[in-house]
Amino acid sequence: MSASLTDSSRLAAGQPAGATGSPWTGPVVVLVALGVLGQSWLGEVARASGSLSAPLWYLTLCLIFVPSAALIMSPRLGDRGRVWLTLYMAMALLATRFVLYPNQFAYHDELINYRVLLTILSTHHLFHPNSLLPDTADYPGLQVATAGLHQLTGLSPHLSGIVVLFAVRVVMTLAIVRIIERITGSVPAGCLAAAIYATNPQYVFFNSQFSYQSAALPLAFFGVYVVSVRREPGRLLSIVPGAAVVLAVAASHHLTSLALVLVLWVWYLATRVTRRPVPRLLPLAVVSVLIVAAWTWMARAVIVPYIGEITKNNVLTIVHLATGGGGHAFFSDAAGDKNPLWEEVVSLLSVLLIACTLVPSLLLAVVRYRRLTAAALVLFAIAAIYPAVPAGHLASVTAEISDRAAGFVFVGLGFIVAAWWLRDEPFHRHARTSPFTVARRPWVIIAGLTVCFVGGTVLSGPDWIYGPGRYLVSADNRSVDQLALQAANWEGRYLTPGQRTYSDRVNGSLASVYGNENVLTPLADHIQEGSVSNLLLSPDRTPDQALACSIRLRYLIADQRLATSLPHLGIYVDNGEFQYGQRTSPPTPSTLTKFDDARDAQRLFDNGAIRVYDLKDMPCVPSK
Amino acid sequence: MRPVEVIVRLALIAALPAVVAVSPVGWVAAPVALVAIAATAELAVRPYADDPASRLLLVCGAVVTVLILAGLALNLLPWGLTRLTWAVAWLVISLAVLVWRRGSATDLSWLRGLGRPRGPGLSLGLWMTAAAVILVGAVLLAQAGVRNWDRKPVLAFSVVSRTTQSVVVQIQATSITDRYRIVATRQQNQPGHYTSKPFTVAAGGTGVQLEEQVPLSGTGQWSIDLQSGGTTVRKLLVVMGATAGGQQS
Repeated sequence: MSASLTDSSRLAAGQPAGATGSPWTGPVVVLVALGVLGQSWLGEVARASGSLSAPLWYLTLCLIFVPSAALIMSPRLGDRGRVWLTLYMAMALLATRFVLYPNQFAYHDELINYRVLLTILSTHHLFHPNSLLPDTADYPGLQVATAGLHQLTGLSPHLSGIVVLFAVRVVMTLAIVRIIERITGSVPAGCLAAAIYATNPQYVFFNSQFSYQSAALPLAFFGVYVVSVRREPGRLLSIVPGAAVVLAVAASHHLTSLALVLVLWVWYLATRVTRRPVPRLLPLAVVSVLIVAAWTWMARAVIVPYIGEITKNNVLTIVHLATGGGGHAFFSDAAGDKNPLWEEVVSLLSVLLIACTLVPSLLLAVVRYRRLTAAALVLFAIAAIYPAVPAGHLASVTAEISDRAAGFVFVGLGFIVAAWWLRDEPFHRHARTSPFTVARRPWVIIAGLTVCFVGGTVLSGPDWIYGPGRYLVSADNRSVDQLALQAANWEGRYLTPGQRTYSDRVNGSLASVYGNENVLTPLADHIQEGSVSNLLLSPDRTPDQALACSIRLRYLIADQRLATSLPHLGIYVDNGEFQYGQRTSPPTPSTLTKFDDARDAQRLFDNGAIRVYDLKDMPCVPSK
Repeated sequence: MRPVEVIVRLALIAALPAVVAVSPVGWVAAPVALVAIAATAELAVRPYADDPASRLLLVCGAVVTVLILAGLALNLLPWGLTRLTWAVAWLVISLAVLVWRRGSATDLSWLRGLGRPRGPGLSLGLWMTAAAVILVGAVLLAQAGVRNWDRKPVLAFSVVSRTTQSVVVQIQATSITDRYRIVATRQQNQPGHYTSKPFTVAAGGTGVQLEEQVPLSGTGQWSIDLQSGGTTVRKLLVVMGATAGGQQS
């Protein structure tokens, strides 16, 4: 494959040897910074006005991505400058997350993982249960690195987390550049692949969060890169660095470690097909299986039910779709908030563009498979999974899984598109007349990248999810406002810690993180969400006291604002809650205040929106 | 490795446990610690990377990996992951790397070129300085936005402690100025009533926190209202004395 690619010197034709600059480098560096400033300004305006302007949000993101991508593809920029600019773009895109939320983690997954970090810092040991999502306690890689940095540098836990996220973003970006460069022999191909990777739906948003996958994915890429680093051949000890990275991945995220093992084995099998062995690959693949199997065995008590639950939900959803059941509404959240039409169009266009590129690229792999290296074959195979990403959006449950798969799939996609675009020779023997062939003008690839970047980001969620604004019901970041934080901080200061507590999704997360309470969840406490959620969501008061007694509930946190709208994420508390999937209107206000009338229930906190009840003295049998 | 470099590296290695022990202000401790960590990592990965970008990749990847593995190892010790154990662990790692890479001298010849930038290098330097200023502005603007957001009006009323005869209630307010009184009433038509003197809450953007003791003589459930102009704006419910049938031990 390497012979078929445009090399760096050709792309840089007309540039004196060794030159790395372009007159546009400086202005682009400033434009990117202005993009970050624009995002910061938008966050400030959104906090004051209550809404984040989606067109301006995308525009400022494009201010970072488009000039960078254009310069990366410029023949006037040398290889070294190209790599640094790619990294700068990646860092700037990550920085946009932190200028929107500069002082705290606000997203549900971030709060879950932050809980693990706080537990490590308070107990000084790992693997303490995390009721919000039990498996995160058994995969604490990100939190361990953050705790280490916090304790070595004295930075706050939040800032340490940000530093770790920047470090792993460096790893992710440069690993992609170098891996693709090693396969193709072309730095521009590596940089283009990294730019294409930035168009995946998880890049700007989900994989920038303080969440275990955000660290595991870059480390998995790093593991592959480490395999390719030249060391003393023939020494079995030389697999130690690779095995160390695999262990770090295994300690960070379950599915990513499984995916890494799979990639290493597929890569090894591909070397058998191509008959070009890669040194140390087989021993590392074997060791990786042992490491991941051992870690999974240690975490089996939490990981098996968790993966089982995900698998069951996905299979049921697929069966439901296959038997003619309805999917979820596209480009619309559960409360009825719709993406604007232009976003839908760009998003669909991006899927179409990628699909159009995928077909000829895979054809290339089939036609020329004898010339491909084993690594290239693996990346082609990974890219071939792409149709599952948009197809997964037929249902909300499968959308989550397919979107997360994008983090892997787009490495392959980046490679094949870069290889296809920067090829040196005709794509195949009919290339000159083939409808698959497009003129390789820079503006075509820049326009394509821009559409895919915006379209991919649209796919990752509704507009409100990207930044601050007025309070929205059950909307992760948009539900974490001063009132919710005030209640959670009060709980942490004045309530008995570690008590069995029940609340909605957002206030429950905050009660766990800042309130230090043991928030009950189906996965951790085996409660039946269908019945327990009656405490918050059902107007029927009859079973409440017996129900609260049966689960030994101490604190109930009720947010009256749940009565103002349907939940934007489809649930008030969790999957399977009261009227799950059938709800057409929010609970009545009196439902959320019904514990005011429960005998001996104490309302200890009231800030106008959130009430905290202590049920310690409540009798188990309702009074007559 | 020349003696001067060994001394500098040993000083850096010692600096990290020193900042952990002394705990100076964050803006001193963090840069010293980060430089010490980066210097050790760079020395460890140096033979495997021949260009700065690859070296940066290996440094970041190695630091995160080693932090994770070191944390897993520290977890096996009875003391666990504390500032002290982290500092000792990093000290051991740094010294091991220094011994391992004792033959690898640092080439600082590139520093000589930095002193006299001109032409495209100078121009790019100016652009980069402008970008850095803009990025710092972005961070400051973001923090200012959060500070403004935190100043929005909120009023919380809560029970923070209790005795057998009274409770202490707290009023936590931000950007609110009003005159209130606390009215406690015993529920279920039993005798018992308390009304506090009117008091003013004058909360600016940084907020205030007031605490008031409310005497509640008599067992059973009490309602404690925070009233403004005769209207209840916040309400608490407390149970005084032991009750039968409680579910918690």
